[in-house]
Parts: sequence; structure tokens; C-alpha cells
Amino acid sequence: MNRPESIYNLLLAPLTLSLILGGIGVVLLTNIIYSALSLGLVLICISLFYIILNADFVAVAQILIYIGAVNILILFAVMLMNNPKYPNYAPPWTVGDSITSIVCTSLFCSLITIILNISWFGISLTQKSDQMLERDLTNNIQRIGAHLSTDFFLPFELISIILLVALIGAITIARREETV
Amino acid sequence: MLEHALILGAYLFSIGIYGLVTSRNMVKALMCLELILNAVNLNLVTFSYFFDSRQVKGDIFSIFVIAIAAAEAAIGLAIVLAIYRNRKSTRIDQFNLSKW
Repeated sequence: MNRPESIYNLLLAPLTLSLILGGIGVVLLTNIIYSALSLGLVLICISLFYIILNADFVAVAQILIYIGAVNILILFAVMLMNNPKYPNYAPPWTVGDSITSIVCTSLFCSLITIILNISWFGISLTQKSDQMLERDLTNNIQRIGAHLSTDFFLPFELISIILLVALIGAITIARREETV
Repeated sequence: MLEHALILGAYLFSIGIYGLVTSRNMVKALMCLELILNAVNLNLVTFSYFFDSRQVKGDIFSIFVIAIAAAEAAIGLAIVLAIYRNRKSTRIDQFNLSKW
């Protein structure tokens, strides 16, 4: 696929900035509706990132499932539980917050150090490729479909069972008690 | 470009862990969990693009992670709703229903 490099490089800087601000917004905003909308911004930016990384199927799946279903579900839950009659008397900053911020900052700094100090393209990955299968596949979706139906067939079926169980379980848990 | 994407994934992961540990509202904790899962997905797709263009195994794994995250968000929010109906509060540090 011919990637228009200049457009993608132009898109990279505002995408990074909105990801950083969105991540801060999810965690630090006190109004939880703003926090849920900021999560939607993060999910959109990640989906655009997937398009830059030539993963178009995952990008569309992200938009459909994460933004279209999970974020809407979170907004539903936020609206259902946002009762101003019971205010939240929590202290805004405790000692545990400081300890967690120190730990998370050190985790982030160690991850940055590791990422910048590894020669990524010196790693040689030898893998046996199925020449017969992959010769005619040019499209990303065709490759994913071929692998899902041959190599990853069992996880595919198990995922469908997991989704069925999750659906039934969520309905059973959240069902209103019927008083007869 | 590779380090750029990996550092973004690491940033989202650490922000997600901070939010998950320090949030007092349960729905905010679930939102930060979604942030963590998205950071992992970003890493997977990045590695799939740079190292595995022929068999896009990272993309397939990230599709499974998206499906599992959706199922877990549904059940997590159902549990939160049931507890809220019982307790009328969403503060996560007042939960002693499972205390033994």
C-alpha cells in the first residue's frame, strides 16, 4: 500500500499532543462526564494512529467496538450513577496519591530508558512463512482473515463463547429485582 | 517512529495505572483500565507494523484484546450498577461487601 508519508507525518504531532492531553484529562478531571468524553478523544486518536500504522481493520474495529460500544456504555453508566443528591466527600489528595505518582513516573522513565536504549532493528526475527498461503494475499484484511481461520481458529471460537457468557452475565447482574 | 509509538504506549500505560490506583469513583477506574488495554494494543500494532508485515499476528492479537476488553467493560459496569443500586454511592474505598 502506498503510504502518503507527508500527510501522516503532518498528522503525527497533533495526534501525539491530543493523546497526551486526553490521557491527562481522563485521570485528572474531576467531573466524570468530561473524563468519559476525554476517553472518547483518546480512543479516536488511537484509531487514527492505527491507520498511520497500516492496520486499517484494527482501526475500524476500534471505532466500532471501543468508541461505538464501550464508550457509550461508560457514558450510560456515568449518567445513571451521577446523582448530585449524594455528594462525594472524598479528600482531594492523599498520601497514597503521591506514592502512586512517584511509582508511575519512575515506571514511565524506566520504560523510556529501555525503549531508547535498545537497537530495535538489530533484532533478527526468523520465522517460517507459509509461502503457499501468503503468496496471493495482498490485503491486510485478507491476511487477518486467513490467519483467523487457520492458525487462530480456536481463540476465535472461544472469543465468541466469552462474549456470549459476558452478555448473559451482564444482563443477569444488572437486572432489576422483581418484587412479586 | 517506532520509539515514538512505543513511548506513547508507555505513557498511556503509566497514566492508566496511576488513574486506576488513585481513582475513587468506580467508573473512572474502569475507564483507566480501558486506557491500559489501549496502550497494550498500540504496542502490539506497532510491533506488527515494523517487524511482522507478512503475517500480521500483532493485529490479530489486538483484535482479541479489543473483544475481551469490551466483554470485561460490560460485566464491570453491570457489577458497578448493582452495587450502586445497593449502596447508593460509587466510592471505591467504602466497599466492604466482600470482607471476611
